[in-house]
Amino acid sequence: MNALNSLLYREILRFVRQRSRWIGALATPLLFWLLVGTGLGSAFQDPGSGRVGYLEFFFPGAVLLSVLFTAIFSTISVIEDRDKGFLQGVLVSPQSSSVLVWSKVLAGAILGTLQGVLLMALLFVLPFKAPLMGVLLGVVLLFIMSLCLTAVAFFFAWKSSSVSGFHGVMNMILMPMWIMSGSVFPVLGSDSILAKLALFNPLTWGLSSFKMLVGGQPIGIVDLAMGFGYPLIVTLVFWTLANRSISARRGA
Amino acid sequence: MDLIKLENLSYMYAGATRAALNLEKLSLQSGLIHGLLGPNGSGKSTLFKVLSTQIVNFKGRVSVLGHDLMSGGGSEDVRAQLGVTFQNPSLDGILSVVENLRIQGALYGLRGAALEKRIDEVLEIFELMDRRHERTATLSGGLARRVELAKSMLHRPRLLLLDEPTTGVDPHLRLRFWQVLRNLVEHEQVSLIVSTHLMDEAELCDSIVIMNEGSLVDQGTPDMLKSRFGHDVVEIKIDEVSDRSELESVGKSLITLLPSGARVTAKDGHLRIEVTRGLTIMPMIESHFGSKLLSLRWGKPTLEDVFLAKTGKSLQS
Repeated sequence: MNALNSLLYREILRFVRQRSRWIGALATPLLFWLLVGTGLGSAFQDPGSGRVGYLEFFFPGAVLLSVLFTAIFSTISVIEDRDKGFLQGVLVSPQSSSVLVWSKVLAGAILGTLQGVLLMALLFVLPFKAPLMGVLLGVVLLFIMSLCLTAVAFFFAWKSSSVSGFHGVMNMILMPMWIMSGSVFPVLGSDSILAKLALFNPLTWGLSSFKMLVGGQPIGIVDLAMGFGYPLIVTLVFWTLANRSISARRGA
Repeated sequence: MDLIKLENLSYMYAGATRAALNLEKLSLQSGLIHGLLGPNGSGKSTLFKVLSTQIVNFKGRVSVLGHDLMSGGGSEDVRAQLGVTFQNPSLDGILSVVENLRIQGALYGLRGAALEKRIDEVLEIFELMDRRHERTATLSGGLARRVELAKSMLHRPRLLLLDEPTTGVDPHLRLRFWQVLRNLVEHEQVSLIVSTHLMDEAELCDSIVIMNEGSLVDQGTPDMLKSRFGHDVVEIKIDEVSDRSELESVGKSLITLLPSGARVTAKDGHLRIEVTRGLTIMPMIESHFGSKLLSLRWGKPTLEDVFLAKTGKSLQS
């Protein structure tokens, strides 16, 4: 195996062997979906067709939440690993910094997508509309959003000097990115400041395309080019920032 | 060729008011075990980080194995030839011994049958063959350190850097650990730089660099450093005299009876006398204190004495 593959292999092996991470990233969003979905169900009115119930509306958001959790769990370890753990050895090795960034971002994205897909399997059991072709394209889009979230989370994890500092980033940046994407409530289609802000969020574009593909929920602005392209651009921006920051620290 | 050559090396941590490292000149030869000796905060860990390419934005010139580590970069060439054992464990505890080694091999461009063969070799050297499939988190401190060493030796580095390598190793296993290090120098053509604050470990090095407050204090073989010190050390304990001021006043009266050039200090309830030919003063001390003398110890100087004389500080502080 080359260096990138072996680091990827490590991340996946770690995930498989840590059962608590499966629960964190799968059961939590599921529970969240059921509790919030049932609780808010009666108060919700679908701004689109008017026919989609809240459990169905919220389902793609819950899938995205599991991707977000995986992005957080797989990058938070960087902080201690870098100063007191395994990554010390990677940082003094002859490998370039980009190998480290790729291994972390790809692993987070693969694992996030895998868990998203496990949740999406419910689509075929639940009485929601789920066209097969759309679901397959949706998986690709989920991978892209997963790359994006992991790259953002990785950059901030690398920049954090402590785990508690990263919790701040999680609460102030990553969770709002998820909430403001139209996952919990519709954000687009109004003139509010919230709706304008949401346009800068790559997840807003990704999630609305995802909703249209997997569930046929045409809400707000749906633009597949932006849905696939914008999260990819944000991935590259944060990948580059992370790579630069690591290179500045270790000289290559 | 010099193993290490430094000129006007200084480094200051972000936000610090004082340089953590300030070395005018230092050169180390290859083929030896060099000890970096100093208390916490002496700069030895910072120097270790510079040499292992963990810190790159230093000032000055550093050459490792003939490669110039330029400030801000230029360390790629040298990384492939360095093996590093960190003070904190760098093993992935969820992975087995052999899984850790495979990833390490991949980072250094080893793969396939050549990698597996080399893994077997290092497991053999460090007597870890029967532990190869155990997760490293389940290993004892001493075993885990051996895996760390095996990991850093995997790619046949020319220079092995070890930061406090026996941290977490039982005292009775430390000697065995050092035998392994000595074997590496003799059989694997590797040079070692070991940072430590333990005297008995420093004694096992071929050459020692003593550091204090970021600067070089002295350098030489353990014997050389001790013979340069010149004095013997005599320690006495006197009945009912244990606090510092009492000891100092007894010391003052004693100094007039000692040969010129002798030094008397109070230390941990003892009086400590540095004097040439220490054995010759012992009968005088015995008759001076008579039955009040609780203990009388004579010794050739240790590295601890050298350190104390050079810096006024104890290594353990």
